[in-house]
Amino acid sequence: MRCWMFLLMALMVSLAGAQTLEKRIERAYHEAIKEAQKMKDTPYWYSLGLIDIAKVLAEAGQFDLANQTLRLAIKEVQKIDGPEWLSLEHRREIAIALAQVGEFDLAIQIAQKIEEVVNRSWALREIAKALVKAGQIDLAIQIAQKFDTPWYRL
Amino acid sequence: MFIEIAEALAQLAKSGQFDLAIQIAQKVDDATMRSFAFSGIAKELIETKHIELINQFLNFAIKEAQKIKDALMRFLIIFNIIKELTVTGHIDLTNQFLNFAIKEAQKIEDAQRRWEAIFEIIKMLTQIGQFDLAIQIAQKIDNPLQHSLALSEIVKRLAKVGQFERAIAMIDRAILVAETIKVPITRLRAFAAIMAAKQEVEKRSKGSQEAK
Repeated sequence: MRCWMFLLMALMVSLAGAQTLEKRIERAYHEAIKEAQKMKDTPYWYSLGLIDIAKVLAEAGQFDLANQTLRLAIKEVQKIDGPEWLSLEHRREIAIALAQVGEFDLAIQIAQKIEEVVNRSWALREIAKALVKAGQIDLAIQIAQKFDTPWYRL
Repeated sequence: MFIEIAEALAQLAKSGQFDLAIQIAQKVDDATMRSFAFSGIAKELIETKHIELINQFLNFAIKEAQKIKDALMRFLIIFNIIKELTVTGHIDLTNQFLNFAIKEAQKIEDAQRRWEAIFEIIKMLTQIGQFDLAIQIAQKIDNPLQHSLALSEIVKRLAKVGQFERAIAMIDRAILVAETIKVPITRLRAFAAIMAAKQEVEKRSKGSQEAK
């Protein structure tokens, strides 16, 4: 136990000076958001930037921050003018990222609203994978049965 | 077609007709195909555990690979052989041919492909426990994102083999490298990879302590 505590403390103290890795992530996050906001006039690009940031945060296990960013991205996607296909990639990626941070209900809701069949199945498949990872096998099976393109069930 | 020819030649070699297999392989005009044929024979022979014979065919393959103009192709052929050697536990042979693969990877012109090749080598080095060499190669990477991604990968492998203190030291080094990245989203990407590696260290060290 003592050895593990020592390692944990070493991990906390060692992180190159006073600033922890979490703080550095937070700082980089705020700077990245600031950069993305430069594209605020173009919801298409702004939301893509936000989705990208959220995906990176999810990878770092910063689920709250990722979730917060994804909700902002959802709002921006709704502002995209034009036909549905223009925001297909956005909505698919938002649904997948939401599943990765454990927001399954919203992820499924967004995925099911995608009209185009391939992207809808793609999103649902990734959600099903995340559900399996989270141990929600029953729900994963239910979702898998909703795939319109049979090969996505494989 | 390369695979079919290599398999056919490997069958010949397996049945003991080595000279015939070599003769036929040498008749192939294209250096890539010749190299692929020899490496294919070596690969097929791995299960026979005839180290000397495998070594001989690998040397043929490397000799032929050196005649290939494209560095990426040269690398891919050699690396595929090494991967097979690692999986089958032929560590001595792996080490022997890794140096060649490292040199070839560094010659790849396309920056992205070169990085992918070097990253693959680093992953392989850590798999066979050659951490010093892996770190040495990682340190030569100019791009700070790639440098920190490579170090993060090394951290994960160090954690896997229980070298926690060294892993922590590598986390520090990766942070310093990542901190030099100017573009925020790229810096965030680097920190995310370091964080994932750090979480692996925490998980493994906790697991190892509990096991004790």
